[in-house]
Amino acid sequence: MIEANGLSKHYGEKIAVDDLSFVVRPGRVTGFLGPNGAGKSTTMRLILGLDRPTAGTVTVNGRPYAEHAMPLKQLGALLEAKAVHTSRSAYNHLRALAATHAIPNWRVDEVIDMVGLREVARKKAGSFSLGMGQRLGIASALLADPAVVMLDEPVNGLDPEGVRWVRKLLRDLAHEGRTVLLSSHLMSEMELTADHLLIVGRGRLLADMSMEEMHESATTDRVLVRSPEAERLRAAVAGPGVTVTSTEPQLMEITGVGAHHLGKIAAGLGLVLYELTPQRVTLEDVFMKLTAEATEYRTAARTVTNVGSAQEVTT
Amino acid sequence: MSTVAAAISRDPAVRREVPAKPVRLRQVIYSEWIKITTLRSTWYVLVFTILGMVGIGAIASAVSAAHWDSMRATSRATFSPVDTSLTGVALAQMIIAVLGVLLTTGEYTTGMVRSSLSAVPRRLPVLWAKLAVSAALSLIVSVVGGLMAFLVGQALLGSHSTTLNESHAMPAILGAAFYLMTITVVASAVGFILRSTAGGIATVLGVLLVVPVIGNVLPASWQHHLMPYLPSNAGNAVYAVHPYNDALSTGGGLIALCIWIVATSTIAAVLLRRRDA
Repeated sequence: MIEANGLSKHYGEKIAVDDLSFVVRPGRVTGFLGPNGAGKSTTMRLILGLDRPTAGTVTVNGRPYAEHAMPLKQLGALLEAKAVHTSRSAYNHLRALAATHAIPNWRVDEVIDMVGLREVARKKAGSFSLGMGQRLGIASALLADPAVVMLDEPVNGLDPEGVRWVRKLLRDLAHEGRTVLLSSHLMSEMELTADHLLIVGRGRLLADMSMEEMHESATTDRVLVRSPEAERLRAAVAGPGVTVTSTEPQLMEITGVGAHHLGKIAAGLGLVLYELTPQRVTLEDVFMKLTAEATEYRTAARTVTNVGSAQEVTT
Repeated sequence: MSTVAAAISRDPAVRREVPAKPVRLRQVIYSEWIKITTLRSTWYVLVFTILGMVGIGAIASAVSAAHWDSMRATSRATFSPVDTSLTGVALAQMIIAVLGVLLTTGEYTTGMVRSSLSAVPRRLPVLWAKLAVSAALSLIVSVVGGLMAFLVGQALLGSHSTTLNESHAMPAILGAAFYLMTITVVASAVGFILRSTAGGIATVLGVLLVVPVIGNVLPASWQHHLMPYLPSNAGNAVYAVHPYNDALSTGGGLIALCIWIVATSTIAAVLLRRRDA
């Protein structure tokens, strides 16, 4: 379990993390989602105690990470930036980390096998590809068999097989009752892995909700339609609240009419459809909606304050 | 392939409990030992340190033996076969200073420090362990290098040579080793303070080579108060049989070197605790 309370981090003028409060619970994969520069990596560094918060606190299983007797048993992390000496082999890197907690060498061999680095374990880590580096980072994170696993953009640079492997690994870890926090800027990746989402933008928490809630909150009724008789269909659905955009002949993106309904209209008119695809929610959609809500909320709050002060003046 | 491997090792029936112990300084020291000894550059530098000590000592000894007859009387009066064979300390200090800096800045430039501090988030044990391991390695290598330089030097000095039984010999060799160890520790601490390889090397070599030169142009009264306490001069007082004029006593030199160690490592400790990694 990770608990953050009013966590903030400023670097000089720049506010990287702004008053974040959240709880990451065990037994599920929590996705930490936000565009690049939203403060995900900084938050993870604050959780690990690598950076000190400007304000607020964050605990891992009830205590600040640094106060645990066996920190690697509590939380294993893969940080986005490489954290390996380039001239040391993967095997020796893991052995040095294991030594701090007196973890035996068989475990080092085990995690090397687990991430599929056996053949290159004795080579300099500096010669590793991005994907191999990620695998080594994941091996480091799993070394002490921790209760909390925190991975920053783990699938960056992995091949498709590696991506699927990470997905399954994280699902398994959560299934075993561990706390799993996974950051990404890719909604598509999160949809396949996460059960719960923390969405951040510009250092602020925009949403803390389950995957289902996210889908409900951010459903779009955008439908992609491909038809040789696109113009007839366009004319048939035209009406208030319906927008149709077209980037190429025969292809339209229609908002305001559901896919079911569109299908019925087309069938009624006897129009041929090559494609009728409800568009999936993208991170961009979620973001637009959440930031729009945040702006509205702020505007509303200001209005209320104004009313309050106006009343004060009149009394 | 790896998918299969992962599936097998994550099978609950196969998985074993992973044993671990609370982080202790002893374990962190072992971790630092693994880190330092698994970098090939460490071994290169240590071998060069020994070669430097032996090589320069051999040249100085051979030259002294060859030119003994043309040497001035004053030079003969202060001639020490021990000092001559240990001339290589001047080169060894620079090589080992670079090692000291690299051992710590290498962590920062590669990002390794994030892993190190994640494993030991209390941070200070990492500093103490790293300083202890680099000090131990430096001391061992310097004693070995000093002994070899002494023996090779005496062999080349011929009739002007001395033996290990001479009362000055072992104190000089151990004193030189202590000085070189000091330089390593101070350089490592400076590496923690500056976190940059170039800056660290420039600073340490600056203190060893440039500051004494600048000091020479200071007013004499200042020189007298400052110069003996510089690491290179304090070290000279510790290991030289005939130190330079104005040098501290052997004990004073030892204390000055210890103060350098304590001062730089204290600053490193305070900064390591305070700064974002």
